[in-house]
Amino acid sequence: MSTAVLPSPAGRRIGTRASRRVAAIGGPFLQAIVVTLLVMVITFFLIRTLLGDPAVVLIGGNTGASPERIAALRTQLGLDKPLPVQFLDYATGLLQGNLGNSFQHPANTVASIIANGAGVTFALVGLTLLISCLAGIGLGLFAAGTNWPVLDNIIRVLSLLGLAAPGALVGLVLILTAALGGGLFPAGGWGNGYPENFQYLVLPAITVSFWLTPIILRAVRERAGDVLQEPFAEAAAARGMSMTRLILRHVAPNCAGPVLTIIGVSLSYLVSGAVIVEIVYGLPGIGRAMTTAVGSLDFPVIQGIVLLTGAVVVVLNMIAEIASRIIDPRVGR
Amino acid sequence: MTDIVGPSIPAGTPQAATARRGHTVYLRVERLVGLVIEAALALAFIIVPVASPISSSDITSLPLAPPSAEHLFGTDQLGRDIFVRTFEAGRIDLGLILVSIAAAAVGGALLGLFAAYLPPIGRMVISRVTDATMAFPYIVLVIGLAAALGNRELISGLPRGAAAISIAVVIACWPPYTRLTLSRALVLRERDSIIAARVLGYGPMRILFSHIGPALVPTVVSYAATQAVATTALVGSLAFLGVGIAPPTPELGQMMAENIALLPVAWWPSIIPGVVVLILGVGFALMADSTSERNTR
Repeated sequence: MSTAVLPSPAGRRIGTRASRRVAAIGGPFLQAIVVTLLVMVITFFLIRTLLGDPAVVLIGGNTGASPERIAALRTQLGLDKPLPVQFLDYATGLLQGNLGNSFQHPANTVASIIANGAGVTFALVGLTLLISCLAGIGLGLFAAGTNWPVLDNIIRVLSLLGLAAPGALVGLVLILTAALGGGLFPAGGWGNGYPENFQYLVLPAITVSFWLTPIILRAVRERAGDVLQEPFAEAAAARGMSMTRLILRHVAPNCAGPVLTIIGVSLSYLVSGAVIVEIVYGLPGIGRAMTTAVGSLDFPVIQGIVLLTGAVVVVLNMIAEIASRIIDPRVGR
Repeated sequence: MTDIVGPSIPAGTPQAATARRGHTVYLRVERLVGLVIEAALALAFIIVPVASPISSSDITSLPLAPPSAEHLFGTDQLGRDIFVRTFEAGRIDLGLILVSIAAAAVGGALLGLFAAYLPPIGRMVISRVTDATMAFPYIVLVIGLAAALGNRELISGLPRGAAAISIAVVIACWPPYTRLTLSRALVLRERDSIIAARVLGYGPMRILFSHIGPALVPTVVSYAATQAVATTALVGSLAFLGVGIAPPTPELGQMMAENIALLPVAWWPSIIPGVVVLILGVGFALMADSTSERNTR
């Protein structure tokens, strides 16, 4: 398990091959369940102890609503019960697959609100991953293989710029140049159907990729540099194998592990970056749902969004970890 | 990361030595450049608002005047000078970033150190809480906390919202330090020198703080620089999410967010503060990159 951070002595293998395979999958799986549960519990209690009284906000803040009306609304929302009871209600609801209804719009279920936003956000994250993987792996391999150190350094410095640039600034510049200046893509907004919506996703995805591409690029560049120095790579070069072939056949597959790991580690930041960029471009995603919910103290919606995004990050992390353990048996710890 | 690969040229040959030296010199220059950027900006953030004859809230000329000799960065929609506003805002941003990261690094690292001396069950609890905190999408955590702590004036004298952002960033940022120091401390603990110290009868506190702790400082500092890059971008973006410093006080992200609608008419009120955030971030990135463990090894 992962508390055993001590690296086991080199070459010492415990257990049979099959049991190691089970441990490779079971460990991360159990961990993911525990972490998701923790996220759920922490969110529930933090929200209810830190945030204010939704009943007051719903009735209209300072308009001087009578205490009776506020109390009645609290009862209606179930906020008058003691915290542990509220938590039990929430947990039993979750077990039945019910995330509850929005405080703000009682007719809407939390699930439907999240589903609407999540569709947009996941499309954005997916397109970003696609662009960043293509650009990052391509540029990373190129930087490792090029004979001109100048190019390698230029790529390195540019990647630093990309890492440091705030998503909002990249968004603003792209809107200014590609949308308002060039008229290539719309400056923001959202359409009705899918082939149409695609054009609204391009600039936001490029914006987030400005940050994710360097991360992937650097992981690839580092691993590719290491692999190129291994004896087998030097032997292949000595046999007269061309650099292109060496990179594509022998170096690129070795980079799959680091790419998966780095994507896993960056996921929570990726979702965060996507949320900000969504708002810059006015996309109706999870980010907008979240800010609206926080503004109106819509507890069930906040809980639902945090739980869902947390679970997605945890599950994808788990997949990345299992995949890298299976791809590269050296990662067993 | 992996130590499997050795240098391809046998160490000790003149060629290897020169290449290595050239590389280290280059990294040192890079680190220096990063440091100079941060120091110069910090100085400017402090001096410009004090030295300038106009204040950040003065309405000095026509609204949305483009950059000129009189107003280097132009004016915003109320006619306030963006040059002065940008530097006054930068002071708040940089201050927030430095204070929050330092608090997260010190707190997280101390927790990791102590965890190394807890029984395994305590260590596991801390590890799982660390994982859970890291699983929260950073932004969700920060929005939630910043909204919860709100615009209350938590610490008097600070701009409204500053303390909330700072606390939120600390809560979002501490876990990697705990993870990092815990794993390193567990490894270090088994070193002969530490075992020797224990045999000499040194108490756990003394071993932690005078033997293990100092050995972890470079790792923590290097990670802090890396995190400063992400935090700079984050603090500069919070205003877009409707949380952040309350308006009379200028803040870089807030200046970007409130002027975004003016983009078709005037680029300077939103882009210039963004470029300052970028330069801050690049400074941290240069420092982080050149101190990362891989390069200094």
